[in-house]
Amino acid sequence: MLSAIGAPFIPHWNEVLPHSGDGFLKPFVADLWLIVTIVAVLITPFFTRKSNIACALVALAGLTGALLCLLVVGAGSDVTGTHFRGLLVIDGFAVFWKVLLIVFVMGIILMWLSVSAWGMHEGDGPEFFTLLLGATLGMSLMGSTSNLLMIFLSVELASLPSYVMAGFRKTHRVGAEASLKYVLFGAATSSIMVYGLSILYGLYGTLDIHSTILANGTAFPTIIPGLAAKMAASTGGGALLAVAIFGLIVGIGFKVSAVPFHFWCPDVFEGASIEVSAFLSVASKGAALVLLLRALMLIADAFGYQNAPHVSLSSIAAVIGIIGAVTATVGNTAAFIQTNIKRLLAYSSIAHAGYMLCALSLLVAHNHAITVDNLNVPAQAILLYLAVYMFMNLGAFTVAGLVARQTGSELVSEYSGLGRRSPILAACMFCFMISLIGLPPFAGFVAKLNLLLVLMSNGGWWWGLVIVIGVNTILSAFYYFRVIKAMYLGDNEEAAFVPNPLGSAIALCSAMMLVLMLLGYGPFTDLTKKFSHVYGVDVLSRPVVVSAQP
Amino acid sequence: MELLLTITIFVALGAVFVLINLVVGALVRPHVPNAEKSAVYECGEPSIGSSWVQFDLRFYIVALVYLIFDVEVALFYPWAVAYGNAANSPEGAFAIRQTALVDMLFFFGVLMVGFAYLWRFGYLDWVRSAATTSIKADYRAGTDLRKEARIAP
Repeated sequence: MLSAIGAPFIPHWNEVLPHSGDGFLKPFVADLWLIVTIVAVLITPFFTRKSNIACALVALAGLTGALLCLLVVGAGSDVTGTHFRGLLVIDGFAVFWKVLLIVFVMGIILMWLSVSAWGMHEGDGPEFFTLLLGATLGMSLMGSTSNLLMIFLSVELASLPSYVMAGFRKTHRVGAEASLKYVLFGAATSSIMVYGLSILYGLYGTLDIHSTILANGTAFPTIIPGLAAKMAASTGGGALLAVAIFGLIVGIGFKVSAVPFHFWCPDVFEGASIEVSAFLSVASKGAALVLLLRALMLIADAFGYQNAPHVSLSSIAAVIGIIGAVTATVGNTAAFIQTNIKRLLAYSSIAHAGYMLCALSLLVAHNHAITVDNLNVPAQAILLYLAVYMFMNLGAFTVAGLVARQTGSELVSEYSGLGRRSPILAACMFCFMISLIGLPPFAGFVAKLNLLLVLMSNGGWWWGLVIVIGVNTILSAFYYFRVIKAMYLGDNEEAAFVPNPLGSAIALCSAMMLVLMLLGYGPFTDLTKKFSHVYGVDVLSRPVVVSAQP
Repeated sequence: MELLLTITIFVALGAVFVLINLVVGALVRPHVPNAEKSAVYECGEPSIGSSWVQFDLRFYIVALVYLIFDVEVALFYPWAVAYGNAANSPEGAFAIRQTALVDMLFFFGVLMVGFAYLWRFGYLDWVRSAATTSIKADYRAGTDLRKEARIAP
């Protein structure tokens, strides 16, 4: 139907459209809901005087709608696949990430209502929520694309609102500085990334990482090889390819705050208001990890999880593994000396991003043959870790925000005597800290154990990563316990206080989720396994490439 | 190893190329400065004062609004061409045009909402004094913000 428009620009346009009928937009109803919500938020101030709170409620309603759409549409076989000429992909992995993201952003808005709503200039709400939802849309798209153009676009869509949000408190000097640092760093890294992506395009002449299957009505579908398949088929371009992949890793590494590119993270977290810090700590990093995982898995799959003469998957895996190990170590050691709770949580989030990067290094089958069962193991490890990490960070940042609101300071020393002054907050914070270390009574343990088991099962030098994560866990215990020690053993003459009920509710719910996820370890793991399917990663049933299109 | 060597040579040659050009230029060019030559170039006009002044933020707002509509036109143009070509399509020109029109109207509508927001809340007023900015704090529905801005001291 649309062939007339597409035909001059894109070969096979009309064949590539898998759902040109009624269900064409169906897999992306949630993203469309987000767009509609952005517009609704901008219209809200025309009708009300209390536009800040009204916009928050509109945004919450829109996100609820998006969540319902995601749950209704699901990730069945009718939506799984590539859409819009391969620009976007929907699969279990993407849907699970979107659900996580939207639940998390709803948590962030509730957190804003409980912690920051009173401090925001009346009338700034529409702008703030437009930016927040815009970034959310970008992160949602980051989770469902393997097209170079779309990768760059979605990363920028996620980044640009984040820069503004970091400096949203206009009279706040530290915030302005943080925002500027963030922009400069982001501009530099994304220009390196787009350079790398352009080299990839130059080498292989296609923007799609995955292969496209043309269901042209015959028993043997034609396959247009994607970038990964062409990479596996060609033999040259070694040095250029290394530069290109380096560029991709730099761009994503910035979003993940992997170590050589992590300098923005503590400054931005300190300067931004606390709900923005919480948003960036999970959503931004999670989206980047999901994006990188999809790209790397597709490439590894095309190579059959083995090294090729011209592309050493092992060395890509080793680079990612080393970056992950160094990131975790630097994050944990730097968190030692922090006195500001937001900076401490920033370094903690760098460390956790390091752990998750380690899972991304599982690109080469070392110890065992790749089967259908263990094909998507890294995706499952990332999803499980992100789900747990999301609640830990949401809770920890909420408590930090509530305490900062009460005491007017973000120093860890303000936590002394919190166990007496506000037992609920202290108990919740205790739970989050233990969970962030990865100790048993909470779900942080499940996430870390799952990650370690996955790494161990691959054997080889992945044992090194297991040891690094183990040592880092011990290192991290010191600074997390410092907060706990201050709360229960520190002395403080200040009077007891009753925290904001909504904020306490968020903290309590997060804490309960952490307990629930530990108790329901089995079903929870099964759920992540069920949703860990990455479209195009299916080495066993991969059809033979029959035609190479120009 | 060969890969590392190639990258190193590539980077080194790049650096050397830039350096050589700079050095040769510095050696060859005559150095005869005078007041006219070292003055700040302002399109041929004599410069007034220092160029290190604080630039009015309002210019950026105008520039941003301009940019939005610039992008809009850039997107409209190829759309209009394709829309015209669709008439020659043998299969369902009407359906194609319908889809394309709805798409573009949605895009334009989103843009208009943003524009209405700017207009309503005083971002387009050149004299957006403290009155307009702080009026958002205790803004009452039905207030003409531009009028209030004009009478503010």
